[in-house]
Amino acid sequence: MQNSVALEAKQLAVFYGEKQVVYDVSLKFPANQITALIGASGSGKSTVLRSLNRMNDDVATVKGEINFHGLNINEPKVNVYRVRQQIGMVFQQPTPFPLSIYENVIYGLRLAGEKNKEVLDQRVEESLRQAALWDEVKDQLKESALALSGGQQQRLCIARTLAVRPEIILMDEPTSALDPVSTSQIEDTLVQLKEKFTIIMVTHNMQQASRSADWTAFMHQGHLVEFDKTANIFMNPQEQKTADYLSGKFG
Amino acid sequence: MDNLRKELLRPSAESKQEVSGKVVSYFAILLIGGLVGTILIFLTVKGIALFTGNHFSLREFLTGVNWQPGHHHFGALPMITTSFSVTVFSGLVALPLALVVAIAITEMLPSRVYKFFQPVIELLVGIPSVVYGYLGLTVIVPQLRQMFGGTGFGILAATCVLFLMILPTMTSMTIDSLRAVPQSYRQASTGLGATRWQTISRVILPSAKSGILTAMVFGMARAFGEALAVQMVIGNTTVMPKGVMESAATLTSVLTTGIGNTVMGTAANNALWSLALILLIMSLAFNLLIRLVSRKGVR
Repeated sequence: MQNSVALEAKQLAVFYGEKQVVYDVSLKFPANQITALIGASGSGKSTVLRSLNRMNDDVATVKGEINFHGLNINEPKVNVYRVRQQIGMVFQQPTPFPLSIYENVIYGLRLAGEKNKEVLDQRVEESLRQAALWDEVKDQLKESALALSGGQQQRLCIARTLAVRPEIILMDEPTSALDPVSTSQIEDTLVQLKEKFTIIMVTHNMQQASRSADWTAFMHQGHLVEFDKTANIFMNPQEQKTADYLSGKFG
Repeated sequence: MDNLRKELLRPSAESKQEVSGKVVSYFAILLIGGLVGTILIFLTVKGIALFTGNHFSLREFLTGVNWQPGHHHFGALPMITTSFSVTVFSGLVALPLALVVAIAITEMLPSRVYKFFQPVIELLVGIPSVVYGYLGLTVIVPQLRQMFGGTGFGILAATCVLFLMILPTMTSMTIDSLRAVPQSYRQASTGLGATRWQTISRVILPSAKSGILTAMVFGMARAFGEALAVQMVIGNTTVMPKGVMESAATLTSVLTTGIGNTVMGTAANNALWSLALILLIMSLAFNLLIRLVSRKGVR
């Protein structure tokens, strides 16, 4: 089935000061699919990801369009706080706040001013279930989130992002700080999540891209080299550079 | 093979170095421990002499308001009250200001501001207290005299001087505790749609809470123990303070003015040692408080 487009980057160019790190990247991210951005260190994939919900605002200059629901959200007049509620982000390192598990999950809702206890309770359970963490923590919701294991912390961070009910979730190497068991748990979680959310993920781990992603974009030195269905990219890459990267000739 | 076995069992230059290093460290630890122990014992013995040797009642010492060493009146309550007042007042004024400056420097202004301010603040921390006292004497006291009448000397003047003295310490420590909050917290919070202010109030301040409290207690401990600068501006009248513009005396200022004018072993001299003992107990209490607060933060 051909999916509708959830988010579109059009001729994206990113500069750190004078230095250009991303050149003319145009990508259409299909809705309810997992798209992986792969590439070597310094290829600009994380920079592209962070530009998508305006996390680069104070860090870099982002040119080009980012179209979301027919609106170019890469414009100064756009409310970035609302954008980030719609396009959430999960980071490489699990970053639970030094609060209880419960308070961590509803952090975003509290920001938005939600006070209704029933709504909050319900959203905590829903989000933790979606992140496949509910059964493990349902009896210790009031305890500090810092006591959880690394994998649990990362799923908590995913739950925290889900709790604001975004449409799109950006993930910046979400499993690179985790052990293989936690990694596979999170990968399973991602597959469940794409029913409701669109996921865009940066990964260094090519098996991860091939296992979980429906679409894969390969970036090299700031340029988008190839973007296709994951199976095509891995089995039948059109570009020599992609083939070289996948076969480990550089990386 | 036998030779190697011998070689392995013999002491070498490295193992001797190890032994001598241990000896030096243990000696240093013993010296410091002994020093602290001696001070504690000495001060305690001297401090309770007023009650054991001169048979002055402890209750009257702590609750009496009449301090006239010449007439055998040793009521220390005025000084205790004044010491606590100037400490609490200066702490209460300094904390919010230190917090605001620290937040501005760490969270809002570009990092070159921090690079500029850090050495400036450290310089301010290192200025000798007599300079602050002199500043109080020549600027603050006349200013207060003009604004409120009276002599200008008193609790308010002392509070102002102490405020100036502890502000850099508290600011610098608050900055350190805010900077210790992981950058990832800020990113994660921003990623969830938080504004900068929401991130500061909901994540950064709670995370840095114990560090900020430590900064406050540390600053107040310094204010409590400060002698010279306070003595220069407080007026040194050993009576119960009736208002902030009234001249008064703290535990420390009575000590610095009185210790040279009394004869060792007399009741008047012993009474000063008792004041010193109170100071010691209070600084121990402050230290304990800092420990408690910072341990709570670690979790």
